[in-house]
Amino acid sequence: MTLKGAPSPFALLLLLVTAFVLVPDARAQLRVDITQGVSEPIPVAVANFHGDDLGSQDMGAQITAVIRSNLERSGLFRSVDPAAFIQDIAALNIRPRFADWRVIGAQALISGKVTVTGSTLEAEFRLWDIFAESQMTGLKYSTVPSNWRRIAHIISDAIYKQITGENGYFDTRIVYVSETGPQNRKQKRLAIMDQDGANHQYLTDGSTLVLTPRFSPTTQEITYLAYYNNKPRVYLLNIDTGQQEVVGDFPGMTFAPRFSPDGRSVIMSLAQAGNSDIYTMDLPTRRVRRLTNHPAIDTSASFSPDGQFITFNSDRGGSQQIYVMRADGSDVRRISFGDGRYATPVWSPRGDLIAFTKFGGGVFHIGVMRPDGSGERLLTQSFLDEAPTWAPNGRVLMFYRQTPSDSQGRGKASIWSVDLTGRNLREIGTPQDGSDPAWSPLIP
Amino acid sequence: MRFKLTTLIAAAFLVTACEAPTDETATAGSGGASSASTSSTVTSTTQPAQPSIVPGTQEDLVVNIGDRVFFAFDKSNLTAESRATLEKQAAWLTQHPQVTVIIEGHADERGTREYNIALGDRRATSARDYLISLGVDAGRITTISYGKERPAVAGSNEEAWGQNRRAVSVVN
Amino acid sequence: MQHGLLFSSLLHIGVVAVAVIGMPSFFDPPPVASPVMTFEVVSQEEIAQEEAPEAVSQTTKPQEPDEPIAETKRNVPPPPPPPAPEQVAALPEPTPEAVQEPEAIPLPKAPEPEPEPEPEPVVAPKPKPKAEPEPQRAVAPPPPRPAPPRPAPKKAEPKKDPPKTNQLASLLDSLNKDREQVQRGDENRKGAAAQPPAPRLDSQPKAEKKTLDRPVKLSSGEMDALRAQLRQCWNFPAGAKNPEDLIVEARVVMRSDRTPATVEILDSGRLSDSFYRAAADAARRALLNPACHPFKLPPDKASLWQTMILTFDPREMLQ
Repeated sequence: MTLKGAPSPFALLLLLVTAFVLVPDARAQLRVDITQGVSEPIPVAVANFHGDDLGSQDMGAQITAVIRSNLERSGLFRSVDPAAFIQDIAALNIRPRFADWRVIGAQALISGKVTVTGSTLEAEFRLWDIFAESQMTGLKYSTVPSNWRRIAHIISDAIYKQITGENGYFDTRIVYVSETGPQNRKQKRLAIMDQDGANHQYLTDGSTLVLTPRFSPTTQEITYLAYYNNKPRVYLLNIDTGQQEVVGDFPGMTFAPRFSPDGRSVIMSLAQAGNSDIYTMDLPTRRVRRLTNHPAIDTSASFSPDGQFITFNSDRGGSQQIYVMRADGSDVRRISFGDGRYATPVWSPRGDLIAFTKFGGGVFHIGVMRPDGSGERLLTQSFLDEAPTWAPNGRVLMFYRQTPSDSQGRGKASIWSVDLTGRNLREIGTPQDGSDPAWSPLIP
Repeated sequence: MRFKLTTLIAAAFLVTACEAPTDETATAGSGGASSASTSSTVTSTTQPAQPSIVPGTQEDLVVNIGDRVFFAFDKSNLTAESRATLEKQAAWLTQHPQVTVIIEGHADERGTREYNIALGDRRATSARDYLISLGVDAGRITTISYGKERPAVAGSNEEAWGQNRRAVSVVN
Repeated sequence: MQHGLLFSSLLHIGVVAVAVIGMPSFFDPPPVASPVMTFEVVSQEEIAQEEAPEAVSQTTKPQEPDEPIAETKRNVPPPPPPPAPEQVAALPEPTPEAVQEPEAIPLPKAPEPEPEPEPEPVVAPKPKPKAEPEPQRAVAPPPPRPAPPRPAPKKAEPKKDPPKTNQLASLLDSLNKDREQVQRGDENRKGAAAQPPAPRLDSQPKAEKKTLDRPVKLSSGEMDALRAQLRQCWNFPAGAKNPEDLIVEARVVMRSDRTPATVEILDSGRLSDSFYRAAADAARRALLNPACHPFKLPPDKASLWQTMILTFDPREMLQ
């Protein structure tokens, strides 16, 4: 110890203490905390998937186009113009020359290969980190050629997951209500399509009023409200078989159906003598359970993903507000307290948020809040935005938007998507007008 | 008599999808069986003389009594005017004991679909309960709610909305 | 006229009849259930596991034509189109870098990969003399995790305060504290240097040379300049669920030209978590993005920034 002066015991102690404290930091590294960044689309180069023959090349180009479109629509990616590509695509199958991609501004590169032989389609892709010059992931799939779109969606999902950490939502479908005719004589039919609008198909013929379809989280089933024989009731429809059945035998109108997270039961409202309350019906046993018993309107119920809680819409406080209760109906508490009316609460599949419709002052919004009512954020605004539905990963919402109708009843209803930032708002094209979208889980 | 029957059926069952002959009025069918209110116009025009309105029909109800009552925004309570209309309906129903009715509840488009279905149900029930309180047999009245699905008047303005927040009695 | 009415009536009766009787026929043919597919991992690292040399070549020699496809094909027999829906479902799992041995027992995942990369370290430090930003390559990928100089002390560095809420203030605060401590430490060490064996630490000597340089610190303006610069390159996909879990610390060893030579994610044990890995990747991209090179650092204080720890904290960013 050669400190200046006499080493007093105190100084010694001090030294020891300081030394101890400092040891971890002994290398004296500079520490910099970055707390602000940007949130903008990542420039990604999606090279046409290579094929050894014309047929495979053609298929590769189609798959690539779907992937590009998916990634672009997510708002998280910006596709670098293929015209700027330097490196030859065929050579990509070996290894990218990263400098070639860096120079055109790409941060990630997607390359792939497609092989179509008879009734088999094989597709593989690699996602490259251009800066790190490494492969982030690479997967290979095989299926029948007619399934090429799903391949493209599954690959898109894998890329999405690699970049965000979150599961993707591209390999999903949307069921919605297709609308034709003027406001006062609307014909409505159930329709289904891929998340990107492809493979559009009608499920009902329009002779009966149908509303509010919702996907089962576990099966290829839809529950919805139909006015068959002028008796509004909740129905189940199996999309694969076309088989449908009424849910339960209730003395009054049932409506506002939704599946429980395990797909075993349907929660819905039953209207009796002018009063709507919330019930569940266990599908295998048909057992019915009443959850609310209040003279107010209780409707639009939605389970939390763990099945422990239910959020619903009620006017028990004087106007439409959002409430949360336990799955057995106990412990009801109001969570919406802002100005205006709140409706259609839907619990996010990842549990952290509840999406809702809010209106007042002549405008409607789609918004989200935490299940305790805090952190309210409005994502959209228009004359009428309604009925949010979550992508299975809980990062994107769809809803429908309606424009005012003129005296001839001409207005437009269309389906839109928006992400949690509210910045990536896009219209989803449908052949006719559309409303009441419902997002499927990832296709199994 | 036979003619009367077919008229009745036609009136009762005209389906919305049907382009009724002279149906250019904005007050098109309020849905399903409800379009009877519209078809009454039809039958009246197809029949030469007004006086031939058959008592106890939808047409009779529309023309001579008033088939609907209106509500304030997000409300289901009856106004004095509504009660007056319903009192006339009750008397009329007493006069025609063979008639049964469906009361359709409706809402304007300024609300969410599911809540409006519940609200329409509340409105229909409100009208029904009043009729019953006036002595009409409960077994003669059923209700249905269309929420905001079947506006009577097209357009997105206060006037249209006021016309659409309604409960309509439709002869079965 | 009468006829018309009659006709109309009949028609409507018909419609009603259909409605009453024919309900089930309302449906068009249902959409066909899409056939299922199988998948397999295509990853070079996977092969690398079997033949270590390949891995090296893969990472070092850009042009080496690897044949990962041939390799993987061997793993998975040509699968018939219909089967194995679970395999598709399983897709998300194997996704992670093959280094983690996709089909291995899930348990060892977290700790296992670390010891394994014996060959990697060779790659990692290889800072190609070329001035190009090439070498990052070796460091960057999560799996190869280089960690050449990374001694234990890092763990002991409890500096990062637990999640605070008034971040900025507290961060600045802790920063200042750090700096102070560093300085005090320097002084102390100066003293200590003269004397025999430091009571504790191996890592101390390393710090030594720095302290011998010139104990200056970056001014807050200099720090801000670097922050402002990196903010442009840190692109964090918004919408993550628990941003407080996605704070990433990276140790950067700098070249004298003020570009990073190596980037090492410190809490690499968490890279098996897809969210953390994505956050780590974003942090790495921020540091390796040529748009932000060279770093805005004072050249005359190279001794201070030659090794830095950068913390990317997204809590304030995400709504």
